[in-house]
Amino acid sequence: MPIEDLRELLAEQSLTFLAGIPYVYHCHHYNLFHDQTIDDALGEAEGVRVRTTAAHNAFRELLGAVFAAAGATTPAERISLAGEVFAWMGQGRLSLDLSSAGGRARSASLHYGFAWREKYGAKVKRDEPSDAVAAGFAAATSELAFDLAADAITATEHRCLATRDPECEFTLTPGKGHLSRPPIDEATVRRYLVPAIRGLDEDRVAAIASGLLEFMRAVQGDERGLVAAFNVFVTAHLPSYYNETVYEAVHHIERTAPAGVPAAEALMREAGQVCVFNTFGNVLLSPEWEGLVGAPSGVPTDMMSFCTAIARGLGFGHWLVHEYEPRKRLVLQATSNYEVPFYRTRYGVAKKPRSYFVQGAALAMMLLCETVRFTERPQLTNAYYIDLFRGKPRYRVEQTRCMMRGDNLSEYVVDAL
Amino acid sequence: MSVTAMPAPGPPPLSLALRREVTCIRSLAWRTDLPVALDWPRLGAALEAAGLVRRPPIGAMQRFATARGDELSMIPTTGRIQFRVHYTVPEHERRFAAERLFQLLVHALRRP
Repeated sequence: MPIEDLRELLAEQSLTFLAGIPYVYHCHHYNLFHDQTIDDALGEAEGVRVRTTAAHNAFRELLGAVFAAAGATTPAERISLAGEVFAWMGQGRLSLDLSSAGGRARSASLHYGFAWREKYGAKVKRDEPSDAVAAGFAAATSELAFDLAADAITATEHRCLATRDPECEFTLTPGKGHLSRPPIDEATVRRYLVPAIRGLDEDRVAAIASGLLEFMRAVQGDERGLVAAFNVFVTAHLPSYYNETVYEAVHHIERTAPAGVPAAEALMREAGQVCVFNTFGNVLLSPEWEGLVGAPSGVPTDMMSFCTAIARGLGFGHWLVHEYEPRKRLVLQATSNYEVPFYRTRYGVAKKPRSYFVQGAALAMMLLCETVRFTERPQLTNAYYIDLFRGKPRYRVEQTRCMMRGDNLSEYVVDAL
Repeated sequence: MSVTAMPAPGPPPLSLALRREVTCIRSLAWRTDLPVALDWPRLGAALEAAGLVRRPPIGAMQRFATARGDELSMIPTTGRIQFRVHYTVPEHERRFAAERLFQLLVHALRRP
């Protein structure tokens, strides 16, 4: 069965599924920053452990569903199919040499390692491998191929493109085993969304989002398992990975160092900013966007509609602009997003708003739409990012409603200071 | 890199410059701009005749690729041309790869 046939779209909520498991699109700028954020919050060793475990869990969810849907029953079938799925997602192409006791994996083209080397390799020396996602994937593949319990296998990366090795290499060994958790699947997601409502400029936003979703359906990894599009490297990725890493990190800090919680939450919000600046910004300036929608006008109200459409097109959920007064106020709402089902299922009802990613994204949308002169073809460099987001604050964001807290939708208010 | 190209047949010469594209990935994407009022179907045919392979369009964006995977994209509605060097090309060779694509375009414009 072609992997494309396992995709589903919940169109009215702009949510995408592979074999019934949610997936979204994120670019390498966001992925690398997200991982760095987790390491900054937890320290490098604990960060790697949390990221690897999250990837392991997330890929167990996905691969279990894919194998069932495709009727893959033998170890060879499952290992082959897992590799194809990983490459299809733009995560890279991994050679797997596995048995029920573990094995080895290697690759010269993993999304994280390759993109890290592209983005930072000329300027920064890295000592630690970067591919926790591939490690978790390899461990999950090994377990499911041989019908082993969750965490029966542990994977460790010991060579990496990001540390200037010619290939990434992993060793898989027997693990300790732990209880598996129920997957966050489409049925779970449907429990935590509310009927979609119309926002400002809804018809145009919906039309653009629909075109983007259609375009993204054709996006898949090349022969190396990588996707170069929109001037960035793109991945289809698992929200469970992002969510488990973020919320495990924040909860850990709440338990062990409560004074550090505001700083940790700010870090998680910043990941949303990085996504909007880099992913949304590069999409808007890309020839793909120009071919699909036209050259960006630079008019703030247009740009806000475009950003909302991009969020939907990447499978982030049904975001809508409820109120927008340029340079003064933005009220962004969501009837679904990829953070809520995970949090409610794993942790129950939140005591406070916790949709960090969209909080940061909302603030960044306000800045991006009003400050970046898109018609002048700006370079979205790190220096520009620092100038835009780390200078004197111009806006503040407050999440006023949160479906994780049991509210009837999620709402993010950005006000000028 | 800049050149003057005479699109055949007849119209005044074009002055084209190859510039780095708006991109955060080092030296992978390059750009030039053509007049919107151009014979785009003829240019597309000339690029194919030069050995590029036409790929499925993305909306108004027409795409052509080399055997190695370098891409030339053109958007007739705006005149934008993007040269996207394949990511496996080492960074120090990317500019040259982009210039080769640029020269292909120039030759295609001059082709009668």
